[in-house]
Amino acid sequence: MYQYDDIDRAMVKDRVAEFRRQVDRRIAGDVTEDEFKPMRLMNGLYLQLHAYMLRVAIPYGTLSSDQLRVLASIARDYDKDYGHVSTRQNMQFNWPKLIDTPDILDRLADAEMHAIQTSGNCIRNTTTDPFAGAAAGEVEDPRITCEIIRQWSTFHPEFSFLPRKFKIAVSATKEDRAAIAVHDIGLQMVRNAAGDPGFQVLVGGGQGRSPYIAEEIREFLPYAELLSYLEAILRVYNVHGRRDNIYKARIKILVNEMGVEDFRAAVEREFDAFRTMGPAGSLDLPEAERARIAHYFAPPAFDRLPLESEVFEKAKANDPRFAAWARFNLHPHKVPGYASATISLKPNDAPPGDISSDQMDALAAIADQYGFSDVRTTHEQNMVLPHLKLDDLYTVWQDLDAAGIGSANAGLISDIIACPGLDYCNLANTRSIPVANRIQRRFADPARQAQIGELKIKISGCINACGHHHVGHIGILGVDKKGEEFYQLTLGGSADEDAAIGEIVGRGLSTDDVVNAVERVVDQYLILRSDPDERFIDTYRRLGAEPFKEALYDQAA
Amino acid sequence: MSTPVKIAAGGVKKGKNSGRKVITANDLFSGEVIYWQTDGSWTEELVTAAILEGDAALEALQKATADEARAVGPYLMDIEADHVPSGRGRLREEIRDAGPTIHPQFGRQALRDVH
Amino acid sequence: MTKLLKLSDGTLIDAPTDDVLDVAHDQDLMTAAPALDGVRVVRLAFPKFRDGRAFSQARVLRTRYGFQGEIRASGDLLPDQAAFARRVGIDTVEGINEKRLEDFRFALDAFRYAYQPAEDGAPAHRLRSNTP
Repeated sequence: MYQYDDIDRAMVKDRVAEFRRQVDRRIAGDVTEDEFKPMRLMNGLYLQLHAYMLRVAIPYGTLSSDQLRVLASIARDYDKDYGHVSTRQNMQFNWPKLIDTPDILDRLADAEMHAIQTSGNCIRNTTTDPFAGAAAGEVEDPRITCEIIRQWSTFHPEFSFLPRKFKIAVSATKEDRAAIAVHDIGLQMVRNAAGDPGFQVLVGGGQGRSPYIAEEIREFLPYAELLSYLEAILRVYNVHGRRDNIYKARIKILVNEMGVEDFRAAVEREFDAFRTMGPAGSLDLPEAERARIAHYFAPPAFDRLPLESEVFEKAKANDPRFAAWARFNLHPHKVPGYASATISLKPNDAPPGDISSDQMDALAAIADQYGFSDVRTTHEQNMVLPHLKLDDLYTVWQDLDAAGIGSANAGLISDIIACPGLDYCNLANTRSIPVANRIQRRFADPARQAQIGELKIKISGCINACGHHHVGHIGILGVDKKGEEFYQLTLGGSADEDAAIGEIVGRGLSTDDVVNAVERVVDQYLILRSDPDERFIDTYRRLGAEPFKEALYDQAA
Repeated sequence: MSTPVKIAAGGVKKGKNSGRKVITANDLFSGEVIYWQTDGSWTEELVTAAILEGDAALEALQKATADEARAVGPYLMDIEADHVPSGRGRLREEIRDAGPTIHPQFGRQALRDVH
Repeated sequence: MTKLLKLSDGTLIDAPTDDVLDVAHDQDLMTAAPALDGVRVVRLAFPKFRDGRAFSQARVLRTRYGFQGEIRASGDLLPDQAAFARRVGIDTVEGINEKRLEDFRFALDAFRYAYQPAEDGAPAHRLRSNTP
């Protein structure tokens, strides 16, 4: 993974010193809260319902075991002994004090981490495939591009006071595990006919109150020209994006109001202007610098192993709980004899995405012993050990299970994305986590979950859609009706390479009814599916919303 | 009133200044939920918060808003005469006062359950 | 007399009495240049510190139109934005709150490096040796 040099280290240290002084000025009354707010937000510090909340950046979801231990120590020393993995692959602490924050940021900086631009109207953490570097079929490890973007976007002098926040995601495989179509910019790495690497560029996707699937504005952007093209997009957005209405300030609204053709023309005009400036004015990285960054993402020293592992097969045969974990939580690795494992942070009856300090330490130890000290966070609020030997998996799982992070439910109905909701969040209308827990309880039987197969439920406690409900196979949106919590169902959403916004079905349901409604939809799917391998989303795409609506209304009537 | 003041927050976008109100905010240093008292100080105990109505509520809110050295984001919340949150923001204010419903061990609810 | 903060060295100077070309914060300089002939000072506006359009305008004036004169910022620019302003090619800030002079000066020196190519200094990658 990327390692800081003296310049990177100076950058985060200078940032901490700057923020320490900003906090002092706020306390001394030298800046108003209105002025201070964007300063703290651009250092990841929110003020939520009960406390401040610090969002630590985990750039493109990659961290070392040592960094994970530092996060554990922060949770222990400054918070309540747990962290929360967010849908931007970051980690949030829910209880820090303002006066402790500079010290927390200092500790992060010592471990080559930061909370820079994890909030605010600036370019946020670039996200990618949690299996980056391990998945088969990559054009290149997407984290090279992500790190290039991280450095380019950090303290960008022109783009730190944008109309609104700005999110970029990168995918390097045909299968999209980074939800690029619902980002402000989605970058799909591809090769052109000549075999040269580059990007298909999507723009204007997003969720929130106006969900959009991103549109292509460039079929093929040469690899080396990425930054000048991004700069062109961001400039058009900075100049033309709406600043009169916070709900219309995202780039998706601009693209929609200008029309994608005009937006493209404006970007290309800017891009051409950069090109005519020649190498001296180029915003793009020289090849040597690209190679320097790429070097850090060279694959670890994999052993030459047979494709199959006897130890692994035997353990599966002897231990059904392990067999279930191996069935659902493993992802194929590009190197024979290895696999990537999803560490589910979705045990029943716990907030989705939470992980305790002890669990972080346990995971770090496992990563050190078996996984090249490499840990990932996922936008689905889980973690990943990307490089494990098949031979080691049984031991790894036993260690995970002992730490309470061995749940065998990745991708299943209990692997729910939920925003923090009204239990924490200042913007929420309703709670999300208790709904997730009730659904988990209803479907607690592992055999039933296995029978249902892949089904992604995503829950948001308000229209800002931090729980990604628009792209849930079953999406649940909390709405407030005169102070009571109600929940609206959407069906058929998807965040993968066939991205779609779910369709709203039916009226708002009470807290009790929503779990029943989910169950009716699931039961209907089990009746309708053509065979046990047809996933919920496939059945929905084949038949549409109607038969599911019927199931909802029949029973509700 | 010259300075604009907030009479709602979070999910409750449009508040009206009618009925009984308490001024609430978060403590600048700790982030803790705090309530305004008649003498201009802040308390973490909702039961000792000043209950205000009409122009008196708006005047007090202006004073509270000016107290940036202690409080962040003061606004008016609806309340019953017995200091129980009410109106559209009822659940939000109950959770702010007590702590997350998913973590009974955190927030003020944890301290209260001991007794 | 109006004072100007010079972003190059953090000194406060009296504003010269030259004519100034005002460019509104919502003017699109990407598609059309302002009439820059004979102009020594262009003044950009920050109606609110959150409105970052002038950062792009300054950049376009420098890189697209090769404007060599003074770019002056006016309005609600926070001390904490001073280094960004300098990096995009803004030279001076008009009418700052002098109580915040030290904060401006701190901000101008707060960061030793920058990642992006801009109007001041070399980007990080130019300072790096090419071997990790």
